[in-house]
Order: sequence, then C-alpha cells, then structure tokens
Amino acid sequence: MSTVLITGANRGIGLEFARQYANAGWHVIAASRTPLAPKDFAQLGYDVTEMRYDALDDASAAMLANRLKGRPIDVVILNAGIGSGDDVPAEELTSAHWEKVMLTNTYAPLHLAGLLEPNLRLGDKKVLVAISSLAASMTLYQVPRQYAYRASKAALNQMIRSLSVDWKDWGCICLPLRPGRVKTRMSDLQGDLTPEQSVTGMRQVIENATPEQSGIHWGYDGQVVAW
Amino acid sequence: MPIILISGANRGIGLELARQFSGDGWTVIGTARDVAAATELAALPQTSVLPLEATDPDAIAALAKTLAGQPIDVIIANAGIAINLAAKPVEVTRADFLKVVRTNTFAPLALVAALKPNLLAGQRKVALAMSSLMSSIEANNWATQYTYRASKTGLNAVFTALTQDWKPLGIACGLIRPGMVATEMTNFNGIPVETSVAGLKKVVENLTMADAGRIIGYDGADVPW
Repeated sequence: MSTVLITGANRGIGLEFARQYANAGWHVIAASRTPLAPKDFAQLGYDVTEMRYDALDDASAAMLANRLKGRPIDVVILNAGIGSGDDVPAEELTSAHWEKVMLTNTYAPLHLAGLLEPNLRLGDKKVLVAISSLAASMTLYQVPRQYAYRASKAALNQMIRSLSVDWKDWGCICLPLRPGRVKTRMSDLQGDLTPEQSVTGMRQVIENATPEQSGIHWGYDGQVVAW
Repeated sequence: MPIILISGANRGIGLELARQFSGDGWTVIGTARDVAAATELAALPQTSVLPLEATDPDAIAALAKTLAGQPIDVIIANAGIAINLAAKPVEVTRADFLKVVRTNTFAPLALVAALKPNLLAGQRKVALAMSSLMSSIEANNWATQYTYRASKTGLNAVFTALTQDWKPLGIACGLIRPGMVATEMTNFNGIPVETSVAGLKKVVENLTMADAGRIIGYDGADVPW
C-alpha cells in the first residue's frame, strides 16, 4: 500500500487530496495546524493518521519528522500555504506581512522537504509535490499587487527546481503544481474549478509523472505553466 | 545631466556603477551602510553619499525625507547578500532565509517605492533591481544556493508585479544581470567588474518603456525566467 503525506490537509485542496487518496486505498498522513473536523475525519476512513504541523513553527516540523522516522512515504504534498491577505500597493507593504507569506509559502516547504528526504528515499514512488500558483509566473500572471504572494510562489518554484536537480541522483521527482482557480476559502470561494476537479487533475499529473517532468511547473490540466 | 541613485555603492558592482556614471557626467547619489568608510565613492566627481541600511524601514524613510523634492532619473537597487551558499535544504535556517530575502527581495522594492515621488519628478523614470542568472528557474541545472536563488527569483516576481502596477505612471521597472563578476561575493572569480558595468551602463542608457519588465544581462541579452 502506498503512503501520502499532505500538509494543510484539514480543508480546501489539502482535504480533497486526503479524501481522494484515502478513497483510492492509500494510507494518508494528514498534517495540519488545525485538527480535521470530526465529520471530515470520519469520512476519510480508518487508514488516516492525523499529525500536528504548523508551517510557521520549526519545532512542529521537527516533531513531525521525528514521529515519521523510518517510515517510507511515497508522495509528499506540500500544500499548506497562505494567500495574499491584505493586498496593498508597494509603498504600504510591511515586513510583518511579507515575512509570514515567505516563511509559510517558501521556507516551510523547503524545510519540511529536507526533513522528509529520508522518508521519500524509503518510498517506492519518490514524488515531492509543492502546491504552486499561476501567480508564480512572470510571464502569465496579470493581477495587480500581491507582491509577497507572487514572490513567495516564484521563490517556491525555484526551491523545488533546486531540489529536483539535487535529488535527481536518487530518482526523486519534484513537481511544483498549479491547482488552477479553485473555489476555496483562500479564493473567497471564487473560481472555475471545484476542489474535486482540481485535485483529480493534479493526482493524474502526479500518477503519470516521469523523471523528465521533474523540476517543471505543471498545471492540474497537465499543461506546463511558463515560469 | 541625468541623476542616478545606486544602493550599495561603496564597493563591488555598485562602486563601479557610480564610477562609470559619474565619469560620464551623471550626478550620482550613492548609498552605503557606513558613509564614513565609503571614501572611494565620496571621492568621485558630482557624487554624494547618503547612509542607508537597505533592510531598515526607518533608514529608507529617512533617505526619502532627505531626498524629498529631488528628481531622480534612474534608481538601481543594487545592494544584495549571500549567506552559506552551500547549505543543504535542512541546513537552511529560518533566520538566514529571512535575512537574505529581506535584503535581496523586499529591500529593493521598499527603496524604489519610497522614492516613487522622486522618480515621477525625474525625466527618465527608470527603476531597476540587480538580479542574477541565479534567479533563473529555467537555467537552474546545478542547484545549491537554495536561498540565494529563491531570493532573486522572488525579486524578479516583485519587480514583474511592480512593472505592471507602475506602467500607467510612466515608470519603467526592470531587472538587470551583472554576470559572474570578480568581486568579494564571488571570491574574485569571473569577468572584470569594469566589463560588466560598461555593459550594464549601456543597458541603462538605452532603456525605454518598451523594455519595462525585462531581465536584461550586461551583454544586452534577456535572461530566461
């Protein structure tokens, strides 16, 4: 049986990943800051392990990695992230805002990926996924402002690209994935896709990923997202 | 003659930029963390030196106050740092990450944003940040330098966003790449700083609104994102 670890698994895209992998018979490690709602947990079935993980707290990342020591993990999905929040012009951007966004969306995924490297090495599939965004694209994104969010996702793509190069020798496939515009809390429930559609597409990309596809930003629709 | 502001102008690429622009008759405002130590910069013709710790919002506010009413044609946010380039993923600390991102990604944005009135009062209205080939995701095929690379990729994203937001104001934002230059940061490996800066100067002089949003190398070529 395959094992997947998902961060930010208590809602939105993360929860949908947990649901779909659980339905497909995978063992799911659901890592989130806030516990799963009892009804969601019940729906996921018996083969789910819940663990605390707060992207802004290195101690929680260390504890998570410690509890998982020696356990193979096939697919790690670094999904926990935050949106652009108070969207302000350049003159009003504060360090309090961008620090939180960069730490959550860029630093934390790299850090946790590093800590879980031994688990991925033990797994059969060896796939590392980071949930990115069209906002990471220099050439495609046309929404005003969102300085910190855009920087955080572009920088995340670069981190994952670096991992794809460094971890190529042991066969790890590293994928920044674009979920598309999904109706979740982060998008104020605006979007063209349900979480189910987006995650179905992303799971397909993950399932079919080859080493040649590592280090490239893929969309839920199987299309390459230009940098 | 035009007026250019260069941050981190007390050494390396920044100092050479100040040297070549002032040598060509431009008025140069060079910033340095330690003004007293920036003797080479201060000795250049029509050059003034102002204190700036680029990561300190109060210092940026003070600089903007000092320069209030002063038109500036071109800003080059040049100051940047690199820490522990060889760190493995688990060795990248939160503190190092924040420090590098603060300096390389968000300080350039804060600087040009604070001096927006000066740019609007200038003739050329050009705001540039010093990027790097290391910013390129496409060209990243030898990894390492996790945080440094990510900080420069983030800088590209920030100036891409700024380009879009400031285009209606007539300010051309962009990114420049100095190439691998022999400075303290590279243990003096690479091309002579004079060569890099001569190329960058040409890029800056010829830059128009049509170039806004590009990342241009010292050789005039675009760097892949």
